[in-house]
Formats: sequence, structure tokens, C-alpha cells
Amino acid sequence: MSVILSVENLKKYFPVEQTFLDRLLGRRKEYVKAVDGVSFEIKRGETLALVGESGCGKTTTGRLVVRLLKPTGGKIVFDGIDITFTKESELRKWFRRKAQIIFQDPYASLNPKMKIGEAIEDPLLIHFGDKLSKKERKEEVLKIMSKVGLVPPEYFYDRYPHELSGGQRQRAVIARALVLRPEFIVADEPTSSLDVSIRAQILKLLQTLKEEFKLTFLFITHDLATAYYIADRIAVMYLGRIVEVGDAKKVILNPAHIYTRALFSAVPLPDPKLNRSRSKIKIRSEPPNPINIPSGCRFHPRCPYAEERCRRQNPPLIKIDEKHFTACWLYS
Amino acid sequence: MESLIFFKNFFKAFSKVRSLEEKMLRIGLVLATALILIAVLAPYIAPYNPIEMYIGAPYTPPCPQHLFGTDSMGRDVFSRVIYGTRSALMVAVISAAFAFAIGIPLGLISGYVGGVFDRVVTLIMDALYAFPSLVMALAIAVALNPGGSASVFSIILNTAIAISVVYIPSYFRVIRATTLSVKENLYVEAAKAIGAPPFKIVLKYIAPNAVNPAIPIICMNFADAILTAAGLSFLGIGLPPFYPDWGVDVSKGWKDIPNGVWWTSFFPGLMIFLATLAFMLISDALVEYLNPRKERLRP
Repeated sequence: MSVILSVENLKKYFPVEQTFLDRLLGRRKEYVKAVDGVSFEIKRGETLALVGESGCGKTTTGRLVVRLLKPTGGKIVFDGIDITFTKESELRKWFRRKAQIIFQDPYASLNPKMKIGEAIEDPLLIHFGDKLSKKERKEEVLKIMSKVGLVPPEYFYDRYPHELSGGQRQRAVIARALVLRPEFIVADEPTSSLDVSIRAQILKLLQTLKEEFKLTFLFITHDLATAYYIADRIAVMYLGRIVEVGDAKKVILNPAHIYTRALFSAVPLPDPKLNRSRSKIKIRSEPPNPINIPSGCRFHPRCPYAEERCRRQNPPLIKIDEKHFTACWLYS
Repeated sequence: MESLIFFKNFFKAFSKVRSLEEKMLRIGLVLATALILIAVLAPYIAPYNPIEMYIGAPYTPPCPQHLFGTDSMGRDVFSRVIYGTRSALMVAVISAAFAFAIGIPLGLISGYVGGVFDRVVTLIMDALYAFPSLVMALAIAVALNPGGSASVFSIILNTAIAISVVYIPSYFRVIRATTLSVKENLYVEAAKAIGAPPFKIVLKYIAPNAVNPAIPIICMNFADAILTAAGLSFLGIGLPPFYPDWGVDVSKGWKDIPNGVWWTSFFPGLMIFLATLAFMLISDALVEYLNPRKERLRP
């Protein structure tokens, strides 16, 4: 399997808005280090889940790899072509057709003044407006609409977004992303704003579509069960870095990093007896401010096993098993 | 006779319709159509020549010969009001169209592009906005009018352009502000993700969600245009003083009111009110119509 996307030491720093007083006093400009040195690879046809708590930079990573944001540093290579700092006009020529994104909030990601049919047709109009006739475009749209489960498509074609439920809207968003037959899709928490009953349906739909269209997914989620269900591999992010990455089974059944274990401890089990009796790892306080990242291992202030070395040196990703890596000194 | 048909239509608009917006739209359209008909058919409706003096005794109150009475020079107020529709509608429509056509694209582009371009345009617009509107219009009208023997139409056009320049900043500011908030929406980012070029993002994704607040400005602009045009005529820059125009007649006529002569200013004033009302109703209904959340109107 060939690598479709490789990310190396990717960085995104957002400048913190300074007040006039700050500038007068000559205070140094500060940056939120949302993504701070992330590296991973995704093979064609694979699903990589990016998990982590809110604010860990997983959404920013997703937006960076489809170049909705400009990276501060690092390297993004898509299909063998470096797209790290490629201009938007150049990206429109080929990249936007091959890589798509599905956003978390289906209520906000559709233009309220555009009918569902028009919204799904727009990508075709932009990229194949001169090649496909109006009729062909409509046919294509109706086809993809029935594929994502907006049936009957003729009925939904002329609806406005506000006339649809959350699940239906997310289906429309998926159809819009798929209509160009992309190879790679970033799914940014596509199910987290949906009702639990609809979540499973959408996940199943994504699985089916993945097989049918031979898609590669970067699946961003904070829900470990979702990640386990959908992903081949899981990468755990903490404060702008990947702390553990490996086969989904290995990461879930045999978590290595203390942070990953803590995440699992936080997942409630349906059986209250089992829930009480299992050993839990509790971590202290809140995640630190991403403006002032702790020295050494960025997890050390919250880690119950932190040693002197953790305070000074940042651990690299250490191989602990076949296809299972973690950034923790405990495994060195 | 014309007024009879007009009132018949007016009440018809009330009887058959269901929603409030539809009523507004119907009344507005009926009023506007009536005004346009009056403007076009003025020679057939007006009983007298509007600029001929001493057709009746000066200051004749409304009577069967002179429906709206006569003014200080014995001209028939009814005929003047009928003919005045022409210049008033032209000035109002042309100036609103100009200001709309320039202010809105400029606001959209400025808000979307941002940066230095936005700063410069906003600065120019603020400078225009800070100027007293009549003085501004006056300066532009003087600059545009070649003076002397200009045709009435070119005077009307220049006046309209002068007024539209005054109104461009109003459209610009409103549209720029809404563009700034609309462009932060997720669907704009989604449009970028599907590869939409900037002009398409602005045209298809931002503009339809940003123009609504500008539509009510049209009716303000419309009413103000008639009065500003009158102000310019009054100062001798706009239309020649004998030319029938509502604004000119109101601004001259109100001085007669202390002497008990109300009709010289009341009737042209009423027409300004009706024209503004027509436009306001249409523009308000248009705002509703452009909102897909409301059930579709049946025009």
C-alpha cells in the first residue's frame, strides 16, 4: 500500500491578540502552539483516527492537512507532492478535488440560502462546469444523494438546509464531499453533534462509502469507541503532539502512554460493579495552557509517574511493539 | 378615472391575499405601478400645462376646476404633481440603483478581502460619510453640471449621481459589517474546501447571506433622494425652478402654510410619502422573499 499523506513535524502557531497596552509596554508577542511537531503517515485505503481531548489540536491538524490553514512549519506531502505552502490558486487546480473535509457541525456547514441539490452540485460546477452538462450534473448529484441515503433524492434535491434534520444534513455534507470522488477525506468529528441514535447510522454509512469509493480517512474524534469502531490505526494527541500511535486494537486493548490509559479510565463502563472495581489512572488538574507549554515531556506536570528526566527531555516516539509507538520515557 | 382604477386595485390587493408580506408586496407593487403609469401618461392625465402661469387665480383652493388648487403664480397644482412624478421617480430610482450597484459590491469585496484594501476603502467611505450630505451632493452636482444649457435629463442624471455618492457609504458600511460576520461561517470554509474561487465564494456563499440588511436602506435612500434633489433645485443647482417637481414644490410651498395655503405643499408631499411607502413595502417584502425560511410568497 502506498502512502497517500505524510505529515512531518507539522506546526501551527496562532498569534495571541495583543492589547494596545501590551504593545505599548513592549511585551513579547505570544503564540498558541495548537499543533507543535506532529508527524504521521496515512496509507491509501486506511483510516487513521486522531483522538484527544478538546483543545489538543486535532481539529487544527485536520484543517492543516487539507490546507484550510497555512502551516507555521513542517511538511505535508500529499500523493508525493509537497503541498505545505502551495498557493490556494494552485491547490484549486487538483488538490481540492482529491481531498475533502466533513465538518463537525452539519447545521453550520451548509449555506442556508442554497438548496441541498445546488450545494451538492456546486463542486461539480466548479471543477467540471465546462465538461458536464446541467443534466449530467443533476444525474450525478441524484446518484450520490441516494448513495448517502437521502432518499428519495428528488425530494431532497429542492429542500433548503433548514428543512432537514441534523442527520440528513450530515448526509448532505457527506454527499457534497463525495461528489467529486475524492481519494482522501478528513472527517472532523462528523458524528459528535448528532443524536446518539443517528451516530451509528452515519458511522456505518462512512464505512460503506469508504469501501465503495476506496477512500482514505483521517478521522478526528474525542470518542474512543468511535475511533475503535472506524479506525485501522489510532493516534492519540496531547497538547499539540502525538503521544501514542499504533494499530487500533493494540492502542485500545493495550494502551501504553499514561495519558492514553487515563483517557480509558475516564470512559464509563456500562456495568457499575466493573466500573468501580477496575484500576483507574487519575491525572491531576487541567491540561496546561498551550501558550506556555511545559518543558520536557509536555504531560509531566499531570503524570503520576513523572521522573526528573521527564522534566528536562522531550521523549521521542519509541517503538514498543510491532506497529505501536509511544512518546514516554517509561518505555525507553 | 385613473385614480378610480388605482383605488380598485388597492382594495383588491387587500381582499384576496393571505400573508402579511404578500399584502405588503401587493400594495407596494400596485402603488409603484400606479406611479410609473402616472409618470408615463402624465400628458394624458394632467388637465393643464404644469408650467403655464395664471391658469387660475393665484392661491385658488382645491375646487372642481383645480383639484389640488393653484399656487402663488396661478399654476395648477394637480398638473404639477402629475408631471412631477417623472423627475422624482427618475432621480430616486437612478440614485438608488447607482448607490446599490457600487456600495454593495464594494462592501462585499472590502469585507471579504480585508487588509490594506479594506483599510483604504473604509477610510474613503468614512470621509464621504462624515461630509454633510447636502453639501456633498451640492459639490458633486456643481462639478458634474456643465452649467448653462444642459438638458433636463442630464440635470436629473447628474443630481441622481450626486445623491448616490452620498448614499454609497451607507450601503458600504452595512454590507461590510455583515460580510465580516458572514465570512466566519463554516459554510464559507466548506466552500473553500470544495475549491470555490474567491469571487464565487463572495457571490454565492456570502452575498446572499449579507445583502438583506442593505435593502431597507433603499427606501431611506429613495425618500431622501427626492428631498435632496429638491434641496439642490432650491439652491439653484438642480432642476430649473419652473420645472414641475415634488421636492421643489414642497420646499417652495411650505412658506404658504402660515397664510392658510396648505395645498401647495400638502399634495406634492403626499406624493413623496406614497412613493416612499411603495418602495418601502416592496423592499420589506423583498427581504422576506429572499429568506427561504419563510414560506414562499405567491406573487
